[in-house]
Parts: sequence; C-alpha cells; structure tokens
Amino acid sequence: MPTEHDSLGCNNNRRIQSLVQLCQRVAGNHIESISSVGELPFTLVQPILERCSAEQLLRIEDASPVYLWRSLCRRTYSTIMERLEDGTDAVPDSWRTHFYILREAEARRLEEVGSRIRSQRLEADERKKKREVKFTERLPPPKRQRTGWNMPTQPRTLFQKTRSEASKLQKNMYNTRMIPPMLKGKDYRPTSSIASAPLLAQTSYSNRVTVKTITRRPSSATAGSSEPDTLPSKTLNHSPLKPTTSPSSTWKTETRSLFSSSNGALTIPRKDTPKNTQISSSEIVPSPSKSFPVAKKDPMASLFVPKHRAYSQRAG
Amino acid sequence: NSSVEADPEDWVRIISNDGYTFLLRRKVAKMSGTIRASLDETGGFAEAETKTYRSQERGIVVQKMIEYMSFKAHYSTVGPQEEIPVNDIAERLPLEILLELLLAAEYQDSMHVSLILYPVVLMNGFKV
Repeated sequence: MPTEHDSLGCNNNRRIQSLVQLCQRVAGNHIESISSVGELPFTLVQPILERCSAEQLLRIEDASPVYLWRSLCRRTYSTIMERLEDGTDAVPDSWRTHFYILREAEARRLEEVGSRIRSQRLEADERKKKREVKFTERLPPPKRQRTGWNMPTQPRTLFQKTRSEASKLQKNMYNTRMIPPMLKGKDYRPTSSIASAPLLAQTSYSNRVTVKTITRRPSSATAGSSEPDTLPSKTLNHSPLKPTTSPSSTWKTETRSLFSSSNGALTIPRKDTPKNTQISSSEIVPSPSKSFPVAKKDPMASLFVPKHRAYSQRAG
Repeated sequence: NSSVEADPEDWVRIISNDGYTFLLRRKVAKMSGTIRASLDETGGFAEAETKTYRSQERGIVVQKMIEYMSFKAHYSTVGPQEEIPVNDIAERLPLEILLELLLAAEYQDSMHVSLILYPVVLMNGFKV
C-alpha cells in the first residue's frame, strides 16, 4: 500500500475502494451488458457473477469453472444446500442440472403455499361476508311476538296456509258460537248448530282479515267449498298482509290474515294466537293452547276481551 | 539527487502501449504500487531515471487508471470524518472498458488489496 509519506493517507487508503473492487461493483450493476467474461480469471469475476441470476449466468457461462453453478446453488437455495453438504443427500453430478431441479422444487412449493394462503383468505372473506350486512329481499322476521315468545316462524307455505284455512273453516263451520270467536285449537267439534254461524262478531276495526258474520248455512261439511259469493268479502280484510306484527297487547291475538280471498273460501276470522301475520305465524296448533288455555274451555272468558286491537291502536 | 527525484510534486510520465503519453504528479503515480515501485529509484529500475513508466494497457485504459489514481490521491488526505464519494469515480467508468479495466487494475498490484491471496493471478500472465 502506498505511502509512508502521509499517515493520514494510510487510513484513507483503506477506506477507498480499490479499482478492482470498483470495477466489480459497477460490472455487477450492469450484468445485462456483459456478454462474456472471456478469459478473465474466475476469482476476479466471481463477485460479479455472484450478483447474477441464473439466466444471466447461463449467458456468461462460457469459460466458467465448475464451481460456478455449485456456488449459485448454494447461494440461492442455501437451506437445501446445507443438507447436501452435511452429506445426507447424494451429491449431484451436475450442479447445473441440480440447480434447475432445486428451482422447480422451490417454485412448486411456493405455488402450494400461495394457493393455501389464497384459499384461507377466501374462507376468511366468506366468513366475514356472512356476518356483514346484506341486502336482501326477504322480509325480516317479525319483531318480537306480542306474547313474548319470540319464536320466529318460517313463512308459511301455501300448503300450510291452505291447510290451516281449511281447518279453520271446518272448525268454524261446526263450532260457531254466538260469542266472539275465540281462540280455537285445531280440534273441532261438530256442533249441531251449524247454521248458527252467524255470530262471528263483527270486527269492524280490524285491518286484517276477518270476521264477518257469515250467515250461511253451509250444508256440506266440506270446508272450503263454500260459496265465495256470500262471503262478505267486503269485510274481508284485504289489506296486504303485513308481515310485521303489530304491536299490541300481548294477549291479543290477531287475526290471521288473508286467506280468504285466495281460495275463495270462507274466511273466518280467526283469533290466532300471538302469531299474527301469516308470514310469521307458525303452526297454530301448539301455541294457542299455551297462552290461552282459557280459550278452549271457557268461551265466556273472552267475552270482554276485545278481539282485536282497538282501531285506534292499530299500527295501520 | 535522490531527493530531487523523490519529490512528490514531480511530474512523471506513463506511456500506454498504443503510444499515448500521460503526465502526472509523482504523488498520484504512487497510488499504484507497481508504478511506484518502478519509479522508485531505490528499486533500481530503469524507469527511475527517466521517470517514465511504460504500461501494457492501451491509452484509454491508462487514462481511466490515472483518473482513479487522482481520485484516490485526493481523498487520501481528507479527514477521517469526511465521506468519500465513491460514486463520483464509479460512474465515470464506462462499461465498454470495464472488464479490461478490471483486469488491468488487478495487474497493478497495489490497486487490488487482496492480490496477495491470488498468486495464481500474478503468474498467470493473462496480462496481455
């Protein structure tokens, strides 16, 4: 190293990169421009080639000694190569082909990991979507049932509707009493006074389907076959069924909506139990009995109970 | 006699293999160990008399080497805190001669710090 003459220079000389190093560095930055290393000694060009990727190396490979590929392998796939050096795996004959093997293995592994991550992410996304607010056309289940049972029910299928209507008809047909219609269970007891159907109280203040005094004398027991004409369709409730339950006193049962028009059958106002809307209503059967055990047995009990919510109370 | 010739401010000459002559101060020339040794009269080389060093490189390569040596000579004397702008010289190395320069630089032994580890290189004679 030059210079006994200036001590300062001594220190700085170590800091200044040698021309060789400078050249190596610049060449490393411009590997693309190097077409061949010609006869340059490997030791000289090694630092340059170390910065090459495999493709670039291929181009330059002409006079390179064997160690070139081996060290590239080591550099790129160091962990795998460590195993090699430990002697656990067989030493590959050709480092060059080995390099390609390693590269493919690596690519495959990356692919696997990538797809695993992708699927995990998709799953997470889906889970998140389920929980987020969605736009939907379906009506939400009615708010808490007035009775407080809070049991959301499935929308009633047509079949269910028909069946319940029919059963209602039957019941009413055979079971009409003069008093305000009350909550009846499914059972129907044929009464003699079929004819006295009349009394279904007029419910003038309901918006739902309801009662009409039907003065008919259905001769046939078949429900549902009634003449639609007599049906006081006017009183019928035509208002669109509102799915939401109207709030009202808990004990009040709303009439079931609508059916009547659909099958042209008699619709009897039915005091349903808490479930009111048809959409929300569940099976009539079990519930009514629970909350209104009275109804079945004691018709008089409901005498003073307004069947429907007062008109003014209606939610509309 | 020797004191005169040892003057670092002296001008010395480097001639390239294609006939170009470069004049530079001795202190710059001494940045290269090879040149320094050959110009050093105590070494007994003929060049010492003539203060001329005949390089085996072509002109354009010699020019870049001298440029480097100037850079090095200048920054040898700066304080230890000061940063040496390596990029200044690095960007002045054209790619076209880069590999040739690399080779030449190595030949100029003290331009390559670790030359000592590669005796093979020295003996190789790939130096044109």
